Amino acid sequence: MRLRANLGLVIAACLIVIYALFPVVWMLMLSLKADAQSPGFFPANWTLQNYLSVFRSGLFLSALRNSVGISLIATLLSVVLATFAAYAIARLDFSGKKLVLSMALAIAMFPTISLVPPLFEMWRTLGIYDTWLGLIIPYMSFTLPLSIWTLSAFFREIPWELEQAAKVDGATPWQAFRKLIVPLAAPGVFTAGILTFFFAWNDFVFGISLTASEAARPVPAALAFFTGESFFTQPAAQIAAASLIVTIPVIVLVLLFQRNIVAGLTSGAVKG
Amino acid sequence: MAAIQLRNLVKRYADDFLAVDDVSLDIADGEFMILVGPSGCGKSTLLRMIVGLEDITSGDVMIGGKRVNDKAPRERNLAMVFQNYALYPHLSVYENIAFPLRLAKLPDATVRQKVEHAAAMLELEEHLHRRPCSALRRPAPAGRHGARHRPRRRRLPVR
Repeated sequence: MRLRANLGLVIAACLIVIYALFPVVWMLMLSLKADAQSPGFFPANWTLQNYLSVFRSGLFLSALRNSVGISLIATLLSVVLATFAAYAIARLDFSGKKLVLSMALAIAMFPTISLVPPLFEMWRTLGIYDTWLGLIIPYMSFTLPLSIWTLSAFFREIPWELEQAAKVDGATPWQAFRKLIVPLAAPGVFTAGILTFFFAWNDFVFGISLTASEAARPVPAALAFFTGESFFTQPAAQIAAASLIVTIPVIVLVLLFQRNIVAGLTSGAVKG
Repeated sequence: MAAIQLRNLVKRYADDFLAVDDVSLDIADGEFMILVGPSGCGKSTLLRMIVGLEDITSGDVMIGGKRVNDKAPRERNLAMVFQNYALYPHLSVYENIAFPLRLAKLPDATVRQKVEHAAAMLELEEHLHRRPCSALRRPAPAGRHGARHRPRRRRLPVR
């Protein structure tokens, strides 16, 4: 009985994994083909040529630099701001708290594309069109609400008494926040950071419409500008190779932070 | 250590509930004082006012002859065991005990000496480098005087 239930689970899990990984494997095979047009799932001639040409093109390297820089800065700023905001929301009773929270949620619901035309005009007037800053700002405005909601939920879980104990132990409010609240909310901080980073890393709409050159164009947008070795070659294989390369940081991040996202870190804090 | 004096201490909450009504008390230096009463009678509120976590509606709290009404908890140099013994779950037992010492910026050697002294008194040495939850669940007898109480109680003398 037990065995049969487990078997069912294993089969279901395998199906899901195959379903999820099939496109990735397909891309991998495509990126290893010498001729993107050649039929068949597996390449007739295996080659790493596509990866080499991706790295040899200045287009990809500058885009990679932009993507890494923009995503990291947006993540850092967003997490720091969200931590402060969420702490205030969780601990303080100020008028308009509900309004702030619901407005934040409303902003997160906004369709991205509807912001592009006004941002385009505004950024050109302000002179931050086609700059890192011009992308960091919209990324932050879309990820801050989610981060604030996630973090304030985590902060509310932390017993008030812990903070009071720290104060009696001689901590200033800032010390209590830094040495107690932030480490205890670490799973939430990591979650918020990962969500922000992925949003910025995966974004295409802002990336393609708010940039005009290699100065700020991130990878997802740059892929659309890929050309083959010559004008007549189809760049499908190179695009597949480049896409796989930019997937790697995502996988690494998930594997890395999975360990840090240990839920129930606060269990044992309070009698029970 | 110092003497604590309470003069006509009153606590009225924002919702007009009178929690502590005109309490005056002299606690001598080194005296062992016990507050007894039914739940909800204001024992905790009184303690929290002394330690500085609760605003004082009227009256004075004096420590060592000085009025401390407007001092922050950390400036009063007191220690308190909370009802739900709030251990810091992300720190080892050692760091839990050392927390106030580190905040006071004592040198590492002094911290270690004090913590080890306190741990020896409580026979907590073998648990020092575990986190409170894993350290205290294992062999310790459950109940009121289980090992879970001990590191928190230890905070008082270290300070």
